Amino acid sequence: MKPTPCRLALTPLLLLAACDRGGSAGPMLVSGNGQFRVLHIAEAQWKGDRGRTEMESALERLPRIDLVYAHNDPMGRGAYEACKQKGRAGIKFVGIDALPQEGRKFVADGVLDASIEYPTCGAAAVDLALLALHKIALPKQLILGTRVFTKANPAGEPIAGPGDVMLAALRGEQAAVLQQPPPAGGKWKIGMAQCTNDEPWRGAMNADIAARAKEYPHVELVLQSADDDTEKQRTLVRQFIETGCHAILLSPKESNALVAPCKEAMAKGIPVIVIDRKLGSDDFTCFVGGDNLAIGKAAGEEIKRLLPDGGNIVEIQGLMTTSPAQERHQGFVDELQLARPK
Amino acid sequence: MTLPAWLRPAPVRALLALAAVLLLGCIANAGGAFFHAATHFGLLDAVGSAGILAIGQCLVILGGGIDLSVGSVLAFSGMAFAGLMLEGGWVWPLAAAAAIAAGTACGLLNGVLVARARIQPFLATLATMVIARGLARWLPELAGKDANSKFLPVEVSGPQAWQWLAGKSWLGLPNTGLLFLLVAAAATLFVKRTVAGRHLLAVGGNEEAARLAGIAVVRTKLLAYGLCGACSGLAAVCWVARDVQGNPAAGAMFELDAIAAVVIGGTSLQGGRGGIGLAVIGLFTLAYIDKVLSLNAVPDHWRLVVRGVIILAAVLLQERRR
Repeated sequence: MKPTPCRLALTPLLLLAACDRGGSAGPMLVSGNGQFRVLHIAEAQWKGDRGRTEMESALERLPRIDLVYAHNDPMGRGAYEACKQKGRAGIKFVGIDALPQEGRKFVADGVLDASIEYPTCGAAAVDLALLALHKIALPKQLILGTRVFTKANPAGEPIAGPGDVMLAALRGEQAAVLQQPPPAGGKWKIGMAQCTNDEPWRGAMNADIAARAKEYPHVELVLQSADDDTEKQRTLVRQFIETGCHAILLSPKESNALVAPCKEAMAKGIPVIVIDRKLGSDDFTCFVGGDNLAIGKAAGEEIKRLLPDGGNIVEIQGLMTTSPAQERHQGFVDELQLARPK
Repeated sequence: MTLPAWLRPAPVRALLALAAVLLLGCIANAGGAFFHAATHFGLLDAVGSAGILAIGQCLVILGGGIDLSVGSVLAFSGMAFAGLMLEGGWVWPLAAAAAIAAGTACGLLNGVLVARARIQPFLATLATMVIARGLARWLPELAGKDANSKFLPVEVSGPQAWQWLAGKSWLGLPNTGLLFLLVAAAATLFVKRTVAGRHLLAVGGNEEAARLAGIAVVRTKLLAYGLCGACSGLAAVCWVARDVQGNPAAGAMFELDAIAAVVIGGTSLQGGRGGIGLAVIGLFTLAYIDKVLSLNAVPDHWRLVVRGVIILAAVLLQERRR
């Protein structure tokens, strides 16, 4: 097809159909009592710079914004920078993840009003592996809670999940077991197959695992990354089995692809602790992870506290094809009882 | 069916695509937001780094090559800039110079691989892309931190120099945007008014003929890739200031945006035909699509579709009837 001016003129019209939202600033979501209005929802794919450009557009379009809810802290900070650049004050910011060098620092610096922690579960995973090595019965699944970091509470206000209670009980009852070296002497060798080191949150998980392992003189940790490659992660797990690791920690890149090597490990009596992302079968000892839905709800609760009389909200989303972004959105929607306006 | 005569010159066609997007913005104006000057100044600010990258890319494409490494080189140079300033305590002009030098070195490596070792540009720069990304992720280790970690400033909005660069000064215009326009003007002069620029077009148009005409092909290609690397280094400095951090994951897929901007403007991927001005128009076309979609809070899945359709429409517009 050759482009004629006529055909070309059609293109913008077609696009208009996709773009047209009436141009007005009507809310995209509104709470049951009408107090909370989400006026702008933009996907920034977890990236701080995208958060900034999306926020710029929101500021250009909307005369009054009271609060920004960002699915992670860097996007929240990007939104903060946009407001600062455009000279718009009085807007509050809530982010998620609360990594020590990012969210917690942003809260301390006054950039974010609150950051909700997404637990790395690193320390818990090491403890669970040690308990499993001593044949202590573990629950199949431990869902940890979160902490809300605010300027008033820089140490974080804990919101316990069901797994925190079980974990605390296990740690209390089995405190002596955790300190025991292998019966045959030497050290417990624990392998950790991280899916990628590319994301700061994964780096924080690695640091937490390494720090916990260091607290036990009788633990030797082998920490390796699969560099975002499923096949490499399968190889890593098998390598841990062959090199005589006593226990394996695993944060799978893909749930089903990692089933086979985990099955092999379990068949040899090597406990497998799965972190954060689920495995596609029952071939593991214990799963430990956070709950993004609960975190979204905690964010919603914090938003209610920051805006007691309600207000206009901008939501900056992570990559919406991923479950963390979907759940962080859903928890927020549930807590504020948001729905499309009629 | 032929195009009408007035539609034939490349700049007219490039501007027509931009005009179509601007028209779209005027219709879907998000309650008048599209008519505010601040919206357009904001866009100029956001587009700065990407623009400088596109200019470097345009030089390489004009010379008949392609550079897939610009995004990774941006990450590497940016990490060098942020690391030297935040961890090394260097003053900003030195750190910026080092970042541009790092970018230039990567560009020259591309040039050597393509011109001397005669590796296909696509493959040579693909290799550099991977290497530069690896180096960007390793740099924090050199500074005594964990590999892959970010360089985060102590101050909320970064050192003074970053704030200045990411801010606005003259007439409320953004500094990064002005820098981009300055680089664009310099590159236009280079291509149109200098002997080396003419040689670049000749090499891109027909390498064999250029060689027979006595043009130093190897040196010309080295220059193009070197300048592209320098642009990546400069873009990195702007990017770090705007992003307020050195991020080893920065710049992913930027190479595709840079190539898209060049092609949408009407520069031929075969080399030799096109120009910097066209790339600038192409860049603004892409940036305005994003702006209009973002102002109207269009969901991301539709943005992808719309973006693709506009790229296709613009490329169709560029198709020459032979």
